[in-house]
Amino acid sequence: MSERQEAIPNKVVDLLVSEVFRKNNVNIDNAKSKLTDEQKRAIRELVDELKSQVETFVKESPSSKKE
Amino acid sequence: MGRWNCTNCYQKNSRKKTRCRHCNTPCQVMEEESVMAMEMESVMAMNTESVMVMEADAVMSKRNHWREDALVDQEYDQLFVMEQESDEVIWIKDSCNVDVKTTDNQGAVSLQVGLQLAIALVISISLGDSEQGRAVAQEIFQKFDDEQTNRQKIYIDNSKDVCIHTTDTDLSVNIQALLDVLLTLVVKIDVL
Repeated sequence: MSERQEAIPNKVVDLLVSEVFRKNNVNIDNAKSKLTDEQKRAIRELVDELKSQVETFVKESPSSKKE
Repeated sequence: MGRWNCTNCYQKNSRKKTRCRHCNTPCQVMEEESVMAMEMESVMAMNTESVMVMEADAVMSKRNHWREDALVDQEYDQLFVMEQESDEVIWIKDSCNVDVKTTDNQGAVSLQVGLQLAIALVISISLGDSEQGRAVAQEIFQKFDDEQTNRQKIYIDNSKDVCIHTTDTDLSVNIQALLDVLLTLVVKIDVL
């Protein structure tokens, strides 16, 4: 992740996700093997797109109105 | 609010459940009294004020009505909706050369919905459209079950050369948090 200020510490999010997976007995290796390269590529593109959108939003406040 | 933890597996359960949805252990945490209070609360949310005078047995019949055994209950959809309320009043009176800038958070809301959908999508692709996948998605969004209220009142009276800037920072923190979760998920399934 970039040098941007984190909303929640990384470890918290990491633990949250791991804990939810563990609690629901999710086999991550199983999930990994299920994904095709095509799906992985699609997800990667989607995440990159959203990431850049969020970064743009956080960096500069969007449209403003003047009176 | 209104959820109880299972004494056996620490699973968080909806207040509508009488048994843990993970290990089926009956709810022991909530005292009967607090169960009633919770029910009253949720019923009130449904029927507004008229329920204030509802009799106890009427509440009990509502409870029995909800005693169903679905693994993923109705709250899954509900949690997609974050409650946000922004009130803004700008009052300028007898003034000149006033500059007010406030951020427009419509874009932020759609970005937030986009992120939530992406999280749901990643889970659904990697875990399949199974009960398990839905349970995971539900739990992740449960952590974001928040209400935000922003109220702003700007009053400028009899002034000159005033410059005011306001930004809705709460929302951007929220969006960053969602992005963090999405990134973590994606890293876990080895895509990034």
